Amino acid sequence: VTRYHRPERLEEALALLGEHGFDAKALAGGQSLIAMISAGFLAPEHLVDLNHLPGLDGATVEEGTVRIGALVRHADLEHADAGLAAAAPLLPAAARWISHEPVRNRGTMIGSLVHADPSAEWPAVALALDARLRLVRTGGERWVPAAELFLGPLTSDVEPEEIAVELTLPAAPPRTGVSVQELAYRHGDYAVVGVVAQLSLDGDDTIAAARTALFGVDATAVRPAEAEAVLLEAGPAGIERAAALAATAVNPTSDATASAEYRREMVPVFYARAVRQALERAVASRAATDGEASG
Amino acid sequence: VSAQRRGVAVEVNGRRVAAEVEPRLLLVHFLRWTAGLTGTRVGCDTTSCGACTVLLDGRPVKSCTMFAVQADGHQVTTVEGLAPDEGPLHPLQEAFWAEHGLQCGYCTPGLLMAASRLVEEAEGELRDEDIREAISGNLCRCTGYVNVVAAIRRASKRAGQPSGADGP
Repeated sequence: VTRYHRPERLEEALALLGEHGFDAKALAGGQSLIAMISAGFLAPEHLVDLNHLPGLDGATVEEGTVRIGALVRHADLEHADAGLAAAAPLLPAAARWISHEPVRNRGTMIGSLVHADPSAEWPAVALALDARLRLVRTGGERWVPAAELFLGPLTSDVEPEEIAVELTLPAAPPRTGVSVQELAYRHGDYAVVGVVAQLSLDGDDTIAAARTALFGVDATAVRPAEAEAVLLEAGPAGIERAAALAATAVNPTSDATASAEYRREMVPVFYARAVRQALERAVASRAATDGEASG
Repeated sequence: VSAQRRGVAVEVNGRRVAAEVEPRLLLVHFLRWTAGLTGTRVGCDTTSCGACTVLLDGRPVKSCTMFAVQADGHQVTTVEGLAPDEGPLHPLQEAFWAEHGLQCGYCTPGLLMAASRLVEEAEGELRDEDIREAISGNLCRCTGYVNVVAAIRRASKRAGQPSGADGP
């Protein structure tokens, strides 16, 4: 790193990235980028610090859409206010699993999506919730759905001259429960197996929407469509079958923490736990709502 | 390409420290070399061990995972800022002493900074699970953490009382 830039306007930041291409890196929270530079995996000549750009630190809910800016930290989502937590309960539920407090105070959700670590929580959350990322470059912009964003380990569909400025995701319906289940050897370590689940119920307690994703068990986070279809079709009775299908949707590899076989064995266990807990919470939220209505 | 140097002014423990630095200089090295405050330790340089934890604008961060240029205009508190030079120790430091919450001491400044805000905001005795969560990013290879947790719990008990009502 030989040049540090601190633009105060987005156009300026985009011009710098456009000029320097692969020799430049955008810096937001830096909790992966700086660690990778220190470890010698990356050596960008130019750093473009996004922390002084206006308007990127908001996390809002408007007309059924949750909007998160590029400078929103993990800790901001961990301690989301009641409105945001109701609209996107998976955000605080997942944030508390990320690393440790000092890292959560700096790192950003959008930075984690662009970084695309297959063992990280946010890519799975983005995938499960059908998040869309807005990528801006000089003279243009595009929206990329999470399902198309993650290309492989540490590889996302973001070009060197682009900045991911915000993401949107649909607000959760009222009768919703979430769960994050993770197998890690120490809290804050990357997941050996991880599952996020958000289930929403109809008025008659049938599952109206099942949003689930797995992480730590493939080259990217994975949304097991067939498993979700079984949950919608068979309800709670289909949980074991859905969990078995989830295991067939992933392609785990072996590393120092766990073998591929062990990961595959653990996927249905953690998937079933996540779905059961999300379902219990959705039912409980319904009971609470009814209680308020009659009280 | 010769490295650019850039002016940085950081308020460290209430004192303004200004210097021209290379952009690649990590905050922890700025604190140790430029500000001369060697209480903050470098353990791993890879965001793993927490020995370099300091407060940035009052919140714990890892100073090895931030460039000094990013701290320009911000406030940093290091272990040297916990208690006045000639005054009594911070209650948390007293508690580490009383409970023998350290052995070699290398990780101690990071542990103190990671726990300091938790203790200062505590309303009465902290629960062990909250203490362990707060220091989960700090590695200690000597103590097994038992006395560290006891020390933080002791300090939180003290924090819940009127000042001056307790000693080790």
